[in-house]
Amino acid sequence: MTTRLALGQQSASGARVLHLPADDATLDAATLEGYSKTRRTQARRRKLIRGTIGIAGLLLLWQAMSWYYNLALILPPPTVVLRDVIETLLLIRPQPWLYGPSIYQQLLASFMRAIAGFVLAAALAIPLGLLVGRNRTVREYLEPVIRLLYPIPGIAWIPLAILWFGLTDKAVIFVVFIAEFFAMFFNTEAGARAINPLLMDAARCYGATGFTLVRRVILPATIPYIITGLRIALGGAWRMIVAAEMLAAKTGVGFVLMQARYQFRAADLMMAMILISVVGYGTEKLIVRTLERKTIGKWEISQ
Amino acid sequence: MALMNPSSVTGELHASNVDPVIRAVSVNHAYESNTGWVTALRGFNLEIQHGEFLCVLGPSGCGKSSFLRMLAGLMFPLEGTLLVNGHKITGPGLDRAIVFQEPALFPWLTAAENVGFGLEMAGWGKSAVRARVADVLSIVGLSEAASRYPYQLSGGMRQRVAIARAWALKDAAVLLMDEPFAAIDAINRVSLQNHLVRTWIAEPRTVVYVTHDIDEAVFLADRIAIMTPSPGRVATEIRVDFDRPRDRAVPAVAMLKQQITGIMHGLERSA
Amino acid sequence: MTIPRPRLSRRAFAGAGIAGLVGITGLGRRAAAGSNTVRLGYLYPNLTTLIHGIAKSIGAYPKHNVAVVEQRFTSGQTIEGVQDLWQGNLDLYFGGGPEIVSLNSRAIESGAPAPLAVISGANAGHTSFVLSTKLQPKSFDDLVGKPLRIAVSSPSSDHLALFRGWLRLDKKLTEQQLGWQFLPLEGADMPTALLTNQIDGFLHSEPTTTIALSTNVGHLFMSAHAGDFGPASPPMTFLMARRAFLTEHPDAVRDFLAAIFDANAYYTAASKAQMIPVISQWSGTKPELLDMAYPRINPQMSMTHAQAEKWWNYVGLAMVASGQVSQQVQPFKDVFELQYQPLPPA
Repeated sequence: MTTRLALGQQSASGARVLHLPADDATLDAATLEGYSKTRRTQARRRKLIRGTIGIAGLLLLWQAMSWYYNLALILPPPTVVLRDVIETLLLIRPQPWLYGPSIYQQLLASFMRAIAGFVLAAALAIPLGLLVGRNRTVREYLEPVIRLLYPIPGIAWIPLAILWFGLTDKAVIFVVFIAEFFAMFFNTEAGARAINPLLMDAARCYGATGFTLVRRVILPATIPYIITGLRIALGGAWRMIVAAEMLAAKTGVGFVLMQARYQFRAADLMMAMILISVVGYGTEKLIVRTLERKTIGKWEISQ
Repeated sequence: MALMNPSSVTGELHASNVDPVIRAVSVNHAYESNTGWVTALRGFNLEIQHGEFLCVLGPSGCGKSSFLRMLAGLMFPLEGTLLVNGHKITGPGLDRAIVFQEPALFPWLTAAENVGFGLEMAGWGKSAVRARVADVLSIVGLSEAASRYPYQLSGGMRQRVAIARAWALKDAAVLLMDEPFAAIDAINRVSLQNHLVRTWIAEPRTVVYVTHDIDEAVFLADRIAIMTPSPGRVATEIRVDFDRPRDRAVPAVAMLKQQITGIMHGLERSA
Repeated sequence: MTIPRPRLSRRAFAGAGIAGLVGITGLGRRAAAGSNTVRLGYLYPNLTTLIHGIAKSIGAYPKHNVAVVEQRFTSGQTIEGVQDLWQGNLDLYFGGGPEIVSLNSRAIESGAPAPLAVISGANAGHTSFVLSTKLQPKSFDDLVGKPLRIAVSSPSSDHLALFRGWLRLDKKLTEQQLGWQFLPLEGADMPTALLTNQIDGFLHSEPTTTIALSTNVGHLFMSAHAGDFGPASPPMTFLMARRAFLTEHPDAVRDFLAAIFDANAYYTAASKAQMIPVISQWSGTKPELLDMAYPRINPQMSMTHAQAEKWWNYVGLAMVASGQVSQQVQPFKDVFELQYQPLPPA
């Protein structure tokens, strides 16, 4: 075997040592763990850099547009808006806050409504989706009804919601519920129908029946689809919150947005939009990614 | 023509004075396909004794898998009787533990949890389940894989977990295996067959093993039921009395294989 | 993240289409050669813009050499109207009130001159405060501190603005002391909401008021017409113009207003029986309701300096106090340009 040279040294044949020749023992578990940690860190850093560049590009485009159009009332430059966001979040606005309770209370109000609608939708859509997916009788009764209601856009439900629930939180929650229900239901149903029949055979042969079958087999098997449904639903929910709040509420980010619009305060309007985006992203990360990590992250089911 | 081999017989495994565990009497089955009715089984008769390893050997499409699924309770014959310990089969149950061609493990459970699934469903207590699972996993040789998820296991290991899941059901009257190694590559197949035999030696059970592989049948079985091509029935049964584990290279084994091959070719020609 | 896009293309296209129609239908033909064209946006169907309908029906515009290119906005779309005006898709906008001061204030705050001006106003005294029949307070003070839910057509509703001004100046109370909630609701939904107990009252105008009264869901607690919000109520529905347009086409503006004032005169002279069918057609309100509402309807457009001052004191200054409008805004420099009206000099 060759004698080990130090890095940079020249070997007998004249080649410069660029890599230390590996021992047999270097591919042990610790080293491998080190390699995968490095890869993960590098991937994280790379994604962060590229993502930041993308967003910076957007900001530059925005800045350029606001210079070019010079319409401060419609398109304030990103510097103004970002300062607005920071000042509002740190509660150090020089100009008064004209939108009622503080921004955090408004965000919380919207967030609570989103969560309430989300929980209600999940509580109804997931069991119903599983049932309709696996039970032909139920499917033939319920599917036509649900498919008829599905095309009605969430916004169209708002007047009805106001009629039924008044100008209260409940109306907004109802609209959010409707918007999220269908996404969750259809995804759950698709997942329930897509379960590998062999898995169902195995489940039945190994004694799973009735509710146990649902809880221990059908539900876990459908989880990847359910998570997709949750993700889609959450995205739609935030949009509906804003639309619903603009019409039916006196608190929340949608309300702030509407107020800013009435006062032609474009910077505040865009600030509200940015906050909506950030909170929406944060919620998705919190709920969906956590659920993902605990389920299909562990099981590595490839769908 | 039944070939009888006078070598030693392990007495406790072939207690023929007890009622057969499984009885199939005049089973007829057909199904509707795009091109009309297809007869899968016609006049299928078979008896399986307690404690024996029975192979059902037949060409593709002869109805052997259908027969096994009927035993599992996943299918019902159009005509005929199927009895397990004297009772008619009305559906799937924990008295018949099945291993499919694909492992069919639950991806959200670890290997140990998969193996213990049937026992949980049977109502066993947690510690009893744990003990039995550990037992079975060590018999099957997969103890270190216990806390891994199926995706972390190779195809062969997954199938062994599936076999462990079936074997774990101590009180099952019979183990049903539907060509469990057909989807495994040839090299691993041999090692898996060896594993299976070792398992059976450690804890003997009644096994109904469906296959189209003559080598496999001769290596594994106490008795081989050879089926005709579709529509299938049991044409002949052959006792295999070699000691286990068997040496595939021994000339007697090779001769038996040749004879069985001859029989099957004959059946095919007269089909 | 979407950026509110100036809706130039859609409105411009509609405007072009209307212009084409105008050419075909011959409105332009009837006017003499060299007539002025004014692009007017207005709320419709809506009682507040009635005077324009009357002017059209008596042919006042061609008489004064004005060709009017119309664009209608439904109630609740006032913000769009003001925005269209500001972006140059319209020359005049008839509808709303406080929004224009907000807009001008934003411009001034960012160092630009105020882009719009109020050149006249209609519907003086048409604010009504209707309470649910279940609420029968002896005086306004009985309601102070009670958690009432009062509906308004929008957060920038002129009725709300007038109420706030009156609250501040006449009652010397703050909204916080009042403790009420002002909920946005479409005028048409207000009587229903009153009936189903979702609101305790509303601040709005006709015909909502009469509908609530005639169906007995509410009673008229305060009326600007009756002087309950102070004497000499200012007009609450503004006619706004782009300052650029005022500079470029002052004669067109004067002619337009002259036509409107003809309509004013016509309305004064006409009888109730004559006007009700016209009003009914313009606003879509049933004649029986109009019959009951008639005393509270005052569609005439005219704004004196004194009225503008009162508006500023009641409504404008309240907006300044709440921070909605900058203190830099001066009413008679940045907001009102009343000299285009055919009024005797103040």
